Amino acid sequence: MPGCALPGTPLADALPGINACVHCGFCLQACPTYLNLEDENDSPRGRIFLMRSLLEGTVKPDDPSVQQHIDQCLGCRACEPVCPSGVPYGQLLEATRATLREYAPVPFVARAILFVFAREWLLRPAMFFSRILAATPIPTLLSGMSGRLGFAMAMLASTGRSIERSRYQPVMRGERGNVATLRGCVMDGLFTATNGATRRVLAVNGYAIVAAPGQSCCGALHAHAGDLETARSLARRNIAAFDRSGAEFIAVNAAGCGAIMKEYGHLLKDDPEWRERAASTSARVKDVSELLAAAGPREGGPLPIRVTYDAPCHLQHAQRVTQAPLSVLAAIPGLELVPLHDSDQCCGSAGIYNLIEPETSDAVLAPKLANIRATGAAWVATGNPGCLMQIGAGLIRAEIPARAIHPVDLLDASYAAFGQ
Amino acid sequence: MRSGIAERLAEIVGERHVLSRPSELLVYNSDGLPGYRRQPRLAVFPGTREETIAVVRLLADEGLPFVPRGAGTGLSGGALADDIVVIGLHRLKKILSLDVENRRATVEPGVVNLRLNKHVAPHGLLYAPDPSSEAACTIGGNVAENAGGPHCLKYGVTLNHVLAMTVVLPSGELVELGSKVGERDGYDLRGAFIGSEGCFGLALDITVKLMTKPQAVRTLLADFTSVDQAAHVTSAIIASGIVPAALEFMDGPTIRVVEDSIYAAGYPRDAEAILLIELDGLEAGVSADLEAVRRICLDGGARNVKVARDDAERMKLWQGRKKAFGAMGRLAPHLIVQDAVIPRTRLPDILATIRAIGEKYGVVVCNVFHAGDGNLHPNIAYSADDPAESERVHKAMTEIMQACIDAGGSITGEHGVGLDKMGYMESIFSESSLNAMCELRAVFDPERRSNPGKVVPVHACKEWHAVPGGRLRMDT
Amino acid sequence: MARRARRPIADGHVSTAAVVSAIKESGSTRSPLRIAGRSTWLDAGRPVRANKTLSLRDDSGVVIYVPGDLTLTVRAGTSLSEIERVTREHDQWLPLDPYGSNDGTIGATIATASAGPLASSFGLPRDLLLGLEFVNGRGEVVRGGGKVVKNVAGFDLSRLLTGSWGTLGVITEVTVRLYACPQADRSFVIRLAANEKESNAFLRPFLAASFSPYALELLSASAAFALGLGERAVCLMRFGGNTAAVDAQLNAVSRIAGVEEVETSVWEALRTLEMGSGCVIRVTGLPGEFRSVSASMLMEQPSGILNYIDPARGVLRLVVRAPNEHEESKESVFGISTDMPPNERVVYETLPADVWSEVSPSVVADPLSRGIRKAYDPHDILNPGILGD
Repeated sequence: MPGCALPGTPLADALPGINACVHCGFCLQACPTYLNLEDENDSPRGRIFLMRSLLEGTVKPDDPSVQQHIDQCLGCRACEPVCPSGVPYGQLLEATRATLREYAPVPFVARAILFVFAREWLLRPAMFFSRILAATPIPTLLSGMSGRLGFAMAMLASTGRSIERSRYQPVMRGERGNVATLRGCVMDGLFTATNGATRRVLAVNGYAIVAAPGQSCCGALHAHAGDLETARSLARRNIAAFDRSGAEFIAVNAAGCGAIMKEYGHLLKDDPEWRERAASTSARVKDVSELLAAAGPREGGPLPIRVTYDAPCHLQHAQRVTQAPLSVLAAIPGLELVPLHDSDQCCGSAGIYNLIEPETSDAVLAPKLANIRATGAAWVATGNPGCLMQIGAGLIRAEIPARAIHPVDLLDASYAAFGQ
Repeated sequence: MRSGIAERLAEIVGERHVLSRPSELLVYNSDGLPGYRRQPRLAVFPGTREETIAVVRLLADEGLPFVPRGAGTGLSGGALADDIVVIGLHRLKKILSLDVENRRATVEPGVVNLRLNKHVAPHGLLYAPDPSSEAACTIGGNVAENAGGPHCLKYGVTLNHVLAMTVVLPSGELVELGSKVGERDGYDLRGAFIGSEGCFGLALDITVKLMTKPQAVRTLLADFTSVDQAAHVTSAIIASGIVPAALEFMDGPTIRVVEDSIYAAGYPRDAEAILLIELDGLEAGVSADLEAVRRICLDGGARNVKVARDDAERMKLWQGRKKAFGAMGRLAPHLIVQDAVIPRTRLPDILATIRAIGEKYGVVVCNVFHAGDGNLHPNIAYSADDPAESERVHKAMTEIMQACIDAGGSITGEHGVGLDKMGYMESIFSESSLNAMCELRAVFDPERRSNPGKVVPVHACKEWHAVPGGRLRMDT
Repeated sequence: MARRARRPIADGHVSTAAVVSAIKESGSTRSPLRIAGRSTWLDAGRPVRANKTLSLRDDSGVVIYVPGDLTLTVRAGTSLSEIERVTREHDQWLPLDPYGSNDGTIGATIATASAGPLASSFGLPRDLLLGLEFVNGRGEVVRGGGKVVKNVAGFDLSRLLTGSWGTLGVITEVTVRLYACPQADRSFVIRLAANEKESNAFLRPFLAASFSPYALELLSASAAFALGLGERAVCLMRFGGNTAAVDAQLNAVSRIAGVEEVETSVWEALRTLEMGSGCVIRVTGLPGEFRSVSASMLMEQPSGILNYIDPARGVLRLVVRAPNEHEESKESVFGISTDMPPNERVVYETLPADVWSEVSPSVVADPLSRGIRKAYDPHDILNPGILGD
């Protein structure tokens, strides 16, 4: 391109990815914000055009409408698996957000959340407070309130509604190798039970669990918001921690975290010291369902429930994992799996998007809830904390008699029903 | 800008659905052929039929020109608005009715082609025209361009599948064209409207004919070590009298770019050409044709003829073909997509000519096209930032087009004239033919406010030199 | 894209020049022309306010025919039988079989958009037409469409001229799509039960079944009798394609009903059955409507009336065969036309000359049609009155 308007920025580095777009428009119908907002500025093709225009200088980085359209992207990356040219949209978005940060600060709510997530000493008490709150009836009482607080309370309330199961102690044989698990921030804070279940079901399926102390937030939320520096420093800490653990696999039960960790190699590609370590760490990262599917997984005890599955965007679009979660559910005898219409569509959670762009998020969630209602399922299985809370909160507020749950929790309950 | 036109449009459609900031209008400055860019002045997105009529009437009252736009996937620059109003119809996306017994459906113009097909599939029905952009393009846009697609070889183009439309003329008046319930006598205004590229008005609802899914479908992949062999086999299949549902051609560079993409279909990477041939109909008949086609391919030098085992494999073979154009973004930052038609017996020699022209100008031409129809799509990937390369590419394309015209062909088989092909119109139509087109248009749009400056070069329109008030631009 | 140098196109065949001069002369003297092919259909009785006839009878012959392209360009005065003869030599055909005689011309077939039993599978004339040349009312030679099978260059003048009955221009040359002759082409009849209920009980599921015949007509008992197919209403079918496909369909049909093979020439007999009749009315509708009422339409027939139904296309043809008894036919026509819903679904094809003005209003009275007519024939010299205008 003759005369780049933003030389030396992350966006300028991303030009080859932008150039791959031939403007064919095949991404339009895959994009939840385009389908809901009905403006091409809120579509992948449109946003890529804006990115190109930023570089050409035909729009300015401080133009509020440009920032708005870039901000309104859910980052679900549903456009990537339909793109014939292989435009790395997720990376372009991160580069754009990183570039625009210079011109418009991240909104206060987002900044506060990101600040907390990057600092363990703040994150722990915050999650602790949330967990205590979730254990009380308060969130349920407040979940009917209108507005963001009501939705946030419903999200918290949803985390206290997992499946009941008895305790069992798996025998650790470990023939399939060593696995370290990512604790995760939200998973660790609000879905502690799911983290426990993850370790147990991996053990049942022949993986030996090893500890990886010193790990931190994965950095996904920061990368999505354009704070690439913080994301990189968090990535380095995790790489070091998992390297020390000596694990062959890094199991992740949060799709959003897994997606960024599989891209640590790209994130640190310009860091000669960390580049190769990052790539090798990324290669070892697996969604928990991938590890379980590789092992079968072992069949459990009967669980006569009706379940539908919603694919987290960062699992199916970013990681391209589609069949593994279904094979996890298939290992549960008696479980009736009802297909969910448009299960490949985003639920509107998108990290912290639902807290920052509530209206769009609601608009994206509404058809999802209607489709869930139509299945008549009692459980909605989905493997990502953001989706679990977004869908869970939506179900509570729409008074749909279904609960959101991680597939691993269902498998764990099935093993518990078996006595292992 | 006329005072308050944006505000008055916003009163009709809601503020959120009117764009007037230049930075927000940028993405509407091109369609699927971004080599052409024209910046619109305003964009308005009506959400209902009534809103659309109100918008058109307001623009008529103000005498303002406009361009209707579907999904912006056109490949001729047809939906570009040069400093005037874009009316985006993508929000009109309701399927209004489906009559399974009589196999017809009525849809709003913004309904996406593939969505209509998904909607009717559970009833064992399908809508035949399947442009490669089916996952994104709208039925309204298909009507405007008279869109084709691979399966048009057997089943015909949009024209053959649209029965009726309600149209809002540029004056704001409503007319019913064709008939939803029978065959109307009188002039075929429906036929005249289809393919009018947005110059005759906007279709508000479109009634299409649906087909019953064929009992049996077989998809063959034949691969060749030379382009010439594949071209001769194509001509031989057509001459044999078998009418395949589709007969598609992809050359070596195209095969490899698709195989590098997410739509990798398992095409042999070392082939210089493949033919993708689909046969459908009654089980018994298809089996017999399959053997005949396989024999023609092998006799013509095919290395292998593979038949897709199941629907999944069939879909994969088709996805590779349909997404080939998009995949060319991998080659270079810019792409020229061409669209020309030649008599089918001329395929071998025209392909050789195209290759020679490519060599002469030092550009790589990727051929992926509807061979059964003789509808060529020579594409050239290049970098527009290199002026010398751009010039070579454009010269090569001009020569390719001339070769097709000289062979007795047409300058466009399915992409339309739009902006891109206007310069060629005079090489295939006489002055009086172009003037007859202008006259027809003048009946639908006397003030030529709907998609001005497209299809027929203005200087070809005798009468219009004298028409007052034919503003091409909005007053400022 | 570089603008190309303007290059004059040599439009028109030698005989196009004759049409041009005839029209120019008529234009200058304001003397309207009746446009005719071989005048085989003039007895349709459509009123035309013209004293002179412009016949294209002598403007016939093949212009371009490369069999491998499966397209054919001919002069408009070429008869359908001539096209059949030429294409048959290369084992090809034009599946266009309008009611009437094969002596009719391709130009007239396109100009009147006439179709026949094959239309339900091969399409109407507009679907088989690729392009044409015509001379407009100012004597200008105009081309629409092209000579290749797929073409969207410019506005579609060829579709506009199809069915315009010569009022927008005189068609001088036509390019059509051809097909290879099928390996097998066989015709069969199924005799329907004499009572309506039984007949309906058979027809409804039968017509909904997934056969794909080349043509299928339900003939009233009177029509069947006229064709020598017995005294009961029949279902007449034509299956074409490769032998395996035809055999498979025949087997499937045989499992449902008793079928009897008949000569394929029966179709030509059917098409010419109405020649010389004083009144032909076409009623079009949704296929489903015909499926449910077809038996009753076939059973109750006043004498002298034949009808045939193409349920897939949704067309009923009603023929009043009383050519010599004018009054009776007029009465029948009035009787029938009062039963007809007065709307776009009813097309009067042939009527006694003096009945036209009373039953058939103009079909080109809308502003768009009037505007096009005015633009293409400003002096009102081409077939004025033929469309009820």
